Amino acid sequence: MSKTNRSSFRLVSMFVVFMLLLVTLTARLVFVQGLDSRHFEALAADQRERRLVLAPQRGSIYDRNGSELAMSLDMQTIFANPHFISDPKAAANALAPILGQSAESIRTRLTRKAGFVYLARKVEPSVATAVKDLHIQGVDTVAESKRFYPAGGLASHVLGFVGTDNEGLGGMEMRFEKLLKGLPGALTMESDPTGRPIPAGHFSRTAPTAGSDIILTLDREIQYQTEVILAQAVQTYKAKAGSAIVMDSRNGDILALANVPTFDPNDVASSSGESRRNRALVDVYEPGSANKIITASAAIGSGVVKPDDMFKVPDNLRIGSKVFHDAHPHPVENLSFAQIIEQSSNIGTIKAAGLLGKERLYSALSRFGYGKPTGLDFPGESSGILPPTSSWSTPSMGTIPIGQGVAVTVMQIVNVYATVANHGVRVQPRLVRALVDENGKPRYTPEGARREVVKAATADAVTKILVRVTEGEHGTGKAAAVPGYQVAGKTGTAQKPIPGGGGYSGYVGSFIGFAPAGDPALVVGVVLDDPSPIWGGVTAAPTFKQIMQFALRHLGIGPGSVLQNEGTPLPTPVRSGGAPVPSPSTPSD
Amino acid sequence: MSSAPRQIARPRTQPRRRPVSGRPLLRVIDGGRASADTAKRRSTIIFLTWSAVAGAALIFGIVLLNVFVAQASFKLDDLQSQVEQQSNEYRRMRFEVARAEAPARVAEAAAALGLVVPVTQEYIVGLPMEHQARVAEEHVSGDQLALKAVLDGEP
Repeated sequence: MSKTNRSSFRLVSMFVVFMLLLVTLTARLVFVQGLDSRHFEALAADQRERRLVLAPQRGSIYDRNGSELAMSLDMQTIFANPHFISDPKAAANALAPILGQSAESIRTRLTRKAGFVYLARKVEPSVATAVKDLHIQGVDTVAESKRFYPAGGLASHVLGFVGTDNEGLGGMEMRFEKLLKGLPGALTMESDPTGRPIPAGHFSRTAPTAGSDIILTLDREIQYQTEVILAQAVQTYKAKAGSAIVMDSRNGDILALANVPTFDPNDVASSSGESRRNRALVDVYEPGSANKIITASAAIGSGVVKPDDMFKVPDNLRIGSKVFHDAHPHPVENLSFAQIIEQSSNIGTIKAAGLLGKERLYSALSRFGYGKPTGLDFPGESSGILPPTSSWSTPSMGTIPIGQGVAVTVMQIVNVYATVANHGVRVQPRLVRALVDENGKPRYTPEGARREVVKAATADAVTKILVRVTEGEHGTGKAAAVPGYQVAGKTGTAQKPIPGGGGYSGYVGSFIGFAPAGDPALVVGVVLDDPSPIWGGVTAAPTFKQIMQFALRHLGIGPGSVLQNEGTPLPTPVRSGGAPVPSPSTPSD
Repeated sequence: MSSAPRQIARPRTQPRRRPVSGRPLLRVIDGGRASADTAKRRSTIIFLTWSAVAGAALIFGIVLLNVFVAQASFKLDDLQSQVEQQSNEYRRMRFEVARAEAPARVAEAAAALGLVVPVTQEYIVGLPMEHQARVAEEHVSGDQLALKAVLDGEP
């Protein structure tokens, strides 16, 4: 090959090589910029873009008058990136006195092989400021919301509590978790490798939606007094536990709901499961003589009995294999039906129930709400126990009319009395008065659904009988009388079934009543677990009186019209003396 | 390969003419092409210069706008941060008020001052109008009745 040809060959070869390179680069460019651009765009965005979740403000919970019962505040959480801690020991020694932790535990966390460790969560802003003033590289703070209950343990069983991450774990906090927590927002921005935002870069912010606020039907003052009075009663009568409910019978609003033992939701960690249980809604008990209001309503409503019908009442009666007794021995007495209820005679009530029949009795218990949820929709609320008539034995017509063999919650029995107070119309109870959205617009919850359970005339007749319990010469609930007011109510002293079956052990004392009897407004129910003495008329009745007296005064409810009891005077039965001692196998008042 | 240079004929020139009636003789100055080129060059330069200036101004303006936007976004961030701080401060104050108003705290303070919950209570109940009038008359003296009649305008 001549010299010229060799030069030309080299030139052409180089040209071909460079052209190939150029084509390859061009092809790669087309591929990267065009065909596969989205993939690389995403990779680049992923490197540059930072997405921060903006936590929403949890909604507050108020009482019916707008007083805060639960609210959230921004606190500071202190964290560290161990990779950037140059001297963990020195840092731990500096942080320990400020955080109130041991230097050793802090040092352990600062030497972990992790990019993020918590040092202290949700502390006061002053603590965070003190930490920042140390200027320790690798230690920083971030705002975190914390739940507070400014009234301490007030209404704790209704409010519930939240976990570390502000999720509702009980009560209304759990029931309305979705509404209270709101919707998180997002902050998307481009940042450099050190994390600093690029001012001219892509920036978008979606504001978080704050949670809705909830206005309860509770009245803070009535709630407080109820809790104090109930706690005193449990202590005075050495009861194991107690529950009390105050309800407006006209619209179903629950003004107070208290349980003992109780807890402080600001310090859930030091409370027990027992103290956190909302007994008034979750636990069931056999109501005893307080149940006689249903037997009376059914008997009068169906026309088998009138209040002044006379009965021969011995102090014991055999039904099937069981013998039932009155609370104390007595000779055979002539008692009106009204007197039977006034004196809480078991035998008289059983005889009246015998005229009623089990189907009509069962129907009445069911219509009054036994065996069904009240409609409050509270987490863990029990429906109670109402066995079907197919499972009733012969003695059941002795036990069930006097409130043994069925089980109810305190809320259910209070609702029964509210129905009678409301002239036979059952109003569904409610705990929530209104929801308030993030713009402050309230949405009032409708009053509870209404349903006629018994005729008004029947309810009014039963009310007059119940007034005799607190005003009659032999009324068992005279300790529940509120000076200046007519109170209608019923005592209860019921045996407690042994868990798992096998008989009874211990007693539950109760008094459920409403006032003013002539124009009922409030219903109060008090239930004490194993009080001493056992009688509801001696323990629960005076507790009822204190709570009802305060609630009536606080709400400015006057005595109202007075009910007049009709009927001719009846002979006063002669009773044997001495303290009544119930037979162990007999359900008593 | 070289060759003898060609002889180029000299251009024939027009004889100089005498000007008629004293007007100055006009002659064509052959600078058209050159001056057009110069003018064109000049206008191009002017255009390019202005374009450059406009371009620079535009770029400067965009940069300045970006600076303002960045400043505004920082200010917005700062204001939002202030709003959040103030909101939190407001909520903190409401919390302090709620805590101070808590019934347990009020009861404790009242007890410390020696206050007690009243045991008895009296009620003042509103009377119907006709009953009020009768009660008033029963407890009013003759002079007061006479005064009342004058005040009421009765003879």
